[in-house]
Amino acid sequence: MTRQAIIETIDFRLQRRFPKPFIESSMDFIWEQLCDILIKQNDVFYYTQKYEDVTVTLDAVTDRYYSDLPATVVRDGVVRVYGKTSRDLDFIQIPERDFRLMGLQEVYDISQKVYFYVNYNRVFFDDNMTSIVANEGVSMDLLTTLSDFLISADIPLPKVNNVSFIDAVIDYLQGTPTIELKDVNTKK
Amino acid sequence: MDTTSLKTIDKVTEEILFLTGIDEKKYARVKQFVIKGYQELNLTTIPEGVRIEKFTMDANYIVYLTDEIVQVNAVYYPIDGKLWSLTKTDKIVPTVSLLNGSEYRDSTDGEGVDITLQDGSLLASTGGNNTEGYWYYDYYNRRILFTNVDRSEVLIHYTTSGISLDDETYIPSYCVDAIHHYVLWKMSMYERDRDAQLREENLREFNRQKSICRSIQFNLDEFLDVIYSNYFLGFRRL
Repeated sequence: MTRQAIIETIDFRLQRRFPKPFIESSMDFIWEQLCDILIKQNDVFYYTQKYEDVTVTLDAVTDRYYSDLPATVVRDGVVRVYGKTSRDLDFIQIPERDFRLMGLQEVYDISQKVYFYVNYNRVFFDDNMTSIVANEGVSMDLLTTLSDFLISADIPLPKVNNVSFIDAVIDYLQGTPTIELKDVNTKK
Repeated sequence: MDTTSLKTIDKVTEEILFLTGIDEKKYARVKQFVIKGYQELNLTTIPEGVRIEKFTMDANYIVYLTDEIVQVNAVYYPIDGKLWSLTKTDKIVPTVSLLNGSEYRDSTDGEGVDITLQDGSLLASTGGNNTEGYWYYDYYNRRILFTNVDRSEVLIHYTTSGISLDDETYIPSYCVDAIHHYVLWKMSMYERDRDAQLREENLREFNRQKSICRSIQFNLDEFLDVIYSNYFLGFRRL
């Protein structure tokens, strides 16, 4: 179902009580809540979008590789990172705190994996990132915000605890007072 | 070499995450616990971390221990194809002196002087004299000082952490379950809303798994060998 179709469906079901931008922002809000549950249930991969050719840059000051996220993601929405052509390196996401504290531990000394953490819109990689992989760029599976989908793109609709996405948005909006759709500017 | 009887640390970590459903973002923490669990098993239970290696004393009859040695278990001489154990003692003078910036054992201070061995023929003397030599474990300086020795090459039986920084570390699969429960036990200790009953269950299972690791190292043949080694010919008394 496309985002446009979802908006029209909800608008129709609620008898056109709300402006469409308000329905869209409500959809974004519910989407992020459902994604949060799906992430906790480790059942999120189906809803991700794949981004290839993500550039990896070396920060000359900190001597650390990073990538800017190609889309806006929900919290913990960087689901997978992997080399563009090579699968030799495993990428493991860890919290920034673990990243900072593990540097002197054995877990880091004997690691052949690339640990990374996400800082809002940027991914930071550890020293196991090689220049060869960095030059090629990486691929990412991201759980983006709903508004990041194209208006005409098919969206895999999540269902959590037997409640579908559309029902969840309608439930949320049902309790909201109707917003009058008067064009105040023309009236004046 | 990656078989079902040997597993890498990463493989054990992934197995634990897979079986328990622990969040993958805790990968680094779980892996550090796997390393610590394997270190504990090496030091207390399993023989994989035990090594025996030849070391040569310097001119002062001192052996400096290498980084991988966590604990020295015994020191031997090879005599007639067998290991002869030297005696650990705290009674020799363990200090060294300095001469022009170099260390040496000053005999006027009793350093490196052979201790007098009673020959056992006197009324008040005890047995247990070691004619091959004595050693003192200087923990702080990570070295062993010898006395009453007549050669410089010794075999040191020691325990390592079992974790190699240079090569891949392989964990025997028979102790993976013990590590598994070590990880769960430790993680349940550090959880913010920790559950005392769950923690005790994990500790109990960890100890049970350690017993399994310990017990599979011995078999009936070895036991019978110990029994038979105490048998000898004797007169049959009628």
